[in-house]
Amino acid sequence: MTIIILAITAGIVLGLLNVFNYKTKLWLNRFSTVCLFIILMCLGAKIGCDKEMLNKVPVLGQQAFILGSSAILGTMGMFYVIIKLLAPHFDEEDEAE
Amino acid sequence: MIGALLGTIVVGMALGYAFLDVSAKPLLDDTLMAALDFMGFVAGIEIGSNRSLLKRICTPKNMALAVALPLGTVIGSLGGAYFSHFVTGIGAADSVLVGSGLGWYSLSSVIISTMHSTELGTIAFFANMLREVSSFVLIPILARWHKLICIAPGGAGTMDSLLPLVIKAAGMHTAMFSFINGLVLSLLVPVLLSLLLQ
Repeated sequence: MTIIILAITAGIVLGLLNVFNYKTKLWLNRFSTVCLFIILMCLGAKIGCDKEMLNKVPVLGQQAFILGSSAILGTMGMFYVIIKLLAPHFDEEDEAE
Repeated sequence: MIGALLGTIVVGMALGYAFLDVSAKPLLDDTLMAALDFMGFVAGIEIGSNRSLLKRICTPKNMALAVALPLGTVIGSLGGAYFSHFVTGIGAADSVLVGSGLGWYSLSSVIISTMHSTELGTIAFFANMLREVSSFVLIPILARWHKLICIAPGGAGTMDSLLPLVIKAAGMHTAMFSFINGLVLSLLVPVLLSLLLQ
């Protein structure tokens, strides 16, 4: 966990200092996408290699759906309150600009 | 993109099922963390490179909104996740832990599966991926109702993967809040996970 926070912080500092040119950033982004697929592949393999776990996927998927939907609804509810309090005319002002 | 992501997991599951056993998990964890560290580094560079966008939002009213929206996302996500435990049967603390991923499915699933359990890590992956997948559908729909509220489903993804969609559906002004919301949430996810895993 410490390493990921340090990695993000180091990235922010280097980004602020504009150390990397556009081409390097493009390649870093491409490799980052490759890393995402490596992560997903490993996550899949972690589930697949555990036969006991694999049998639980249908149940876990259902629980995940309920949990994810609840988190979205909770956030939408909070946003509704915040908009009513702090930016009730956001859309009108945005259209005017 | 989403199809490719889901397809990769299915391929990974098939390969894991066919060629690996449970003893391969530590190696998979090390590979995951190394890839994740690199992704975090690149995400940091993107954040640091976008300071001009942040400067444009420096009015008191916008600042208050910029603070309130991520705060609302955290409270709403954790609250929603907490209440879901009455239906799912997952423990309240575990539900809140999954909710604290705030849509950052790669980070939350890896951290939770490594430091808690593969089972909860899998739930974290699916639950947080649902946020991103459903956001692609919900953002254009919600933007018709209210521009700012369309940011709500996205969570941490509103800074990067969902930002182009927010710009298209709700415009640049909303996109600035979307970026800040995602930026703050991306910084908060590792902190929240650390705190809740203790």
